[in-house]
Amino acid sequence: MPEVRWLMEHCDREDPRYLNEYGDYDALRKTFDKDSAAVIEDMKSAGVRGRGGAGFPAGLKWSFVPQNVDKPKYLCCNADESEPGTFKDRVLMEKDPHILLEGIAICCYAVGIGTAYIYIRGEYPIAARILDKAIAEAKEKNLLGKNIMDKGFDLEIYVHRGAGAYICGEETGLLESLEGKRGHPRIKPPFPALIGLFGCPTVINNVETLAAATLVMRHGPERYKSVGTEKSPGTKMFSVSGHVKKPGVYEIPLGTPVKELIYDICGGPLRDDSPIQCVIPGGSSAPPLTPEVAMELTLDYEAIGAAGSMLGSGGMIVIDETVCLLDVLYNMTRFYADESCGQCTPCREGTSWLETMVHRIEHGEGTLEDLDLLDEAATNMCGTTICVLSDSIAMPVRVFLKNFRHIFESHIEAKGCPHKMEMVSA
Amino acid sequence: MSPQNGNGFGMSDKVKITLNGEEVEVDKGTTLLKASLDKGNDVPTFCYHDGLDKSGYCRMCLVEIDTPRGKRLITSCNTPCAEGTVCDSHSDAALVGRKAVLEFYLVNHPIDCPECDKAGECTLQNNSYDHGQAKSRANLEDKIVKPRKDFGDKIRFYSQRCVACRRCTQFLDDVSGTSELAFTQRGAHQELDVFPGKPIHNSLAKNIVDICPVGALIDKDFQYTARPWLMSSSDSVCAGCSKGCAITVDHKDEKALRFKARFDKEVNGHWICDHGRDTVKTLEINRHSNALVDGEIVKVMVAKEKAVSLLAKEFKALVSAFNTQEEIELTGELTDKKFVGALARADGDKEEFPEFTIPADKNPNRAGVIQHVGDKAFDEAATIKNLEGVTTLLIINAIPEYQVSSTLLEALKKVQNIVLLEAWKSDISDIATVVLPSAAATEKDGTFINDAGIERNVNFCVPTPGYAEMDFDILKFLNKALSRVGAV
Repeated sequence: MPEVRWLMEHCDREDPRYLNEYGDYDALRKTFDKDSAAVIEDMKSAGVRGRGGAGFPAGLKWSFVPQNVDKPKYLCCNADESEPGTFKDRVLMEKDPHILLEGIAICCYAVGIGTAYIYIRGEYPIAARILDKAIAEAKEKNLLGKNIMDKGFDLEIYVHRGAGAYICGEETGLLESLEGKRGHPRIKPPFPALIGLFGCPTVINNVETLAAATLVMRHGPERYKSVGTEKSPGTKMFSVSGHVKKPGVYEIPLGTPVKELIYDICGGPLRDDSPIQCVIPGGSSAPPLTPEVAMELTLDYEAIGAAGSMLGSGGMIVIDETVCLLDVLYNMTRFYADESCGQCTPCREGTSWLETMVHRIEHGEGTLEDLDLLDEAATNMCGTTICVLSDSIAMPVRVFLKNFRHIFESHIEAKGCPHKMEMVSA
Repeated sequence: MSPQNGNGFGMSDKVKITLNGEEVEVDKGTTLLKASLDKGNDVPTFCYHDGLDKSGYCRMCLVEIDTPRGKRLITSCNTPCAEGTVCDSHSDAALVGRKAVLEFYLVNHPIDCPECDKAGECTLQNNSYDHGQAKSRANLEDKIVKPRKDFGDKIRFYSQRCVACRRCTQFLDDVSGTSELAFTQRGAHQELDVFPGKPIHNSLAKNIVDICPVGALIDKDFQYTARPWLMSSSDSVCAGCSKGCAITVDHKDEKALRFKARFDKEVNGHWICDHGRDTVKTLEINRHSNALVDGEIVKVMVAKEKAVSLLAKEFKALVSAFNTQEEIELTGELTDKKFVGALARADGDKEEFPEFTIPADKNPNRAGVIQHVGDKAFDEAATIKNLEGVTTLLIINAIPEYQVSSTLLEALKKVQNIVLLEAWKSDISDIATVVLPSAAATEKDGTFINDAGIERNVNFCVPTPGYAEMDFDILKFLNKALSRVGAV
């Protein structure tokens, strides 16, 4: 299967596509012809799954929000794309901002929301600027703001820039941050659909999910479902980085074989003399796969999940043999130790413990017993915390240990990093 | 994953759950933790506190429940019992899970128990003893070292001991409403801190020392005073103001060293104020420990005999709002209810917090005195008028550091014979003929009636200093002696 560029149809350009080229929100106009329940039904039938990582069906999420409440309802667009290896939303926001804004308007109409926030990570100043400009011109054309298209529907969209914390990409951490507090994930239940932003019912969706809503409404759910697999319909953007010839963001139908993405679309391994050592399919928190396993898989939620990893945000990292995998793991543990919010003890203490243990092994100071301890500590970090940040590093550590144990052992035997020793001797 | 799940409130007020294989009926909304604790299953916690709303941060109270997706560990403190919940608080998985969580607490903890003030009453110690393992698997050299800080003139903070349970921040946010503390930094480098130049300075601050499960927040006044296991505890009531908060008096070597808050639902809830807590410091300052006759130290029996001879004629009584109901009643019997009035400490500031109020009236038994002496008991002008023509006066005064007004003092000077039962020295001591040293509130048994009309008992915790005796005992002696001479 080749690339199917629906979301990214207009992303191959220098400047953002502003309203003069984008048109005047035809999908939203179509949406207004239906009642809100029908819109949610369309989303459910299209089977759009959350593109932020968890893959929760978007239509179902929208339907959880109670219809008749006396409180305001909110939409938070999660543009805090901080997962290492993921950079797909940035492309969408910087090149085609209106597809996102239109998707937001569709969701707000379906759920009955009057205020939407785009929580964008602080490191995306350009995207924030572009979105601000896009919102302004849409308001000028009465595509946003008061009484949109004279249909009696009001919607204000605000862009809120984060301050650079990974945890604020977790949906309830995002809500706390948006409320002006420390980005500490909340205890669930209650879920944000009932008690979210400022204590009001809230929908939180990823940028790509909301953009997909525009596609569903523009072309109808049947068309959207025409590609992809039965349980994972539609297209998904993958950001491929690491040792491939053509890294970048690609939109492919779900269910495309990994092999095709890496070899046909991305041009294969970067170096001809260095084979692929490891594939991380969905951002740094997805457990890594050996190339033998990975090349047999298709890119959909079910297949990757069955292989013990996850599709996640679609941030694929390909690593060849020029790199020490333990160094990669150390870098990852360092990241998670730094980004742990500090709320739950297993995560707060565990992430930094993993970091020091992996550091010790990487520097040749580890023993074989340390490997068991590392595995046990990581196991104990799984499933005992408020959010999944703890699992996001514990799982990769465990899988690295399982799939690449020989690399750990070679470090212990050589009393140092074999890769670095080679480099020094060469 | 439906958002409706999890709360699981049924229609009736009771729900049935299966706890450790036994069917139990509990009130709707009861958490699994509470249900387990009520049945005597000890589930360890750090962050959960009855007086605070939120918990679920420490992850210590894991129990195993059956879910449609199989058995799972969940935090019991914030999971309400739902109809049909099957919960095992002591399954193998729960025990292993709790042991695992506990291990993380000790990864960066300094384990400086030998010099930590909390050792002996530390939740981390207790939980480690019950649920932990003897040997640490974390490398000591890898520990993250965090500093010690001063949070104002009351509290010292040992950052590395902190387990980030958030009880203190919750207390300061919700109960005192002052929000001085907040977390800074992230992950294992996370630290509690105050805002620059804004120390913890509210009148409820030391409650956070009480509720800190470890030795992170330390009361500067008490630090290094005594080891908890060398102290004994007695329940009593604070005599610092008219609220009459329930306290625990920790004492060692016959000295009260520390007041801690004790739960009393109707009076003070879980908290007490720092003014009351600090009254422990006044217990030994400026006290009467010897009997005096005309300002000279004499043996107690000599003074008592002198008192009996003075009181053998007709006399009146002046009581104080620091005396117990029993003392005032017995004084009434002695004098045939001829009270001239009562002494009281001047009003202080009323301090209001979102979930606690410190009353302006700083006398523990004003309401009780009014019952015995009448509405005009504390009217000084009336008291002075009543003193006219009185030749012999029995004064019982247990007010700490009592500042007598000059007009009242002038009136008292006109009284020929004053027999004074007094705990703390005051200007009245100088004009009294006989001074019999008496007891502070922690040194006697009796009843106070607080400003809401609630009766609470003070209990004997520590002995009186020197030759001092309980007021009630002295009064009983006087009663007996006077009845023998036929005066009563």
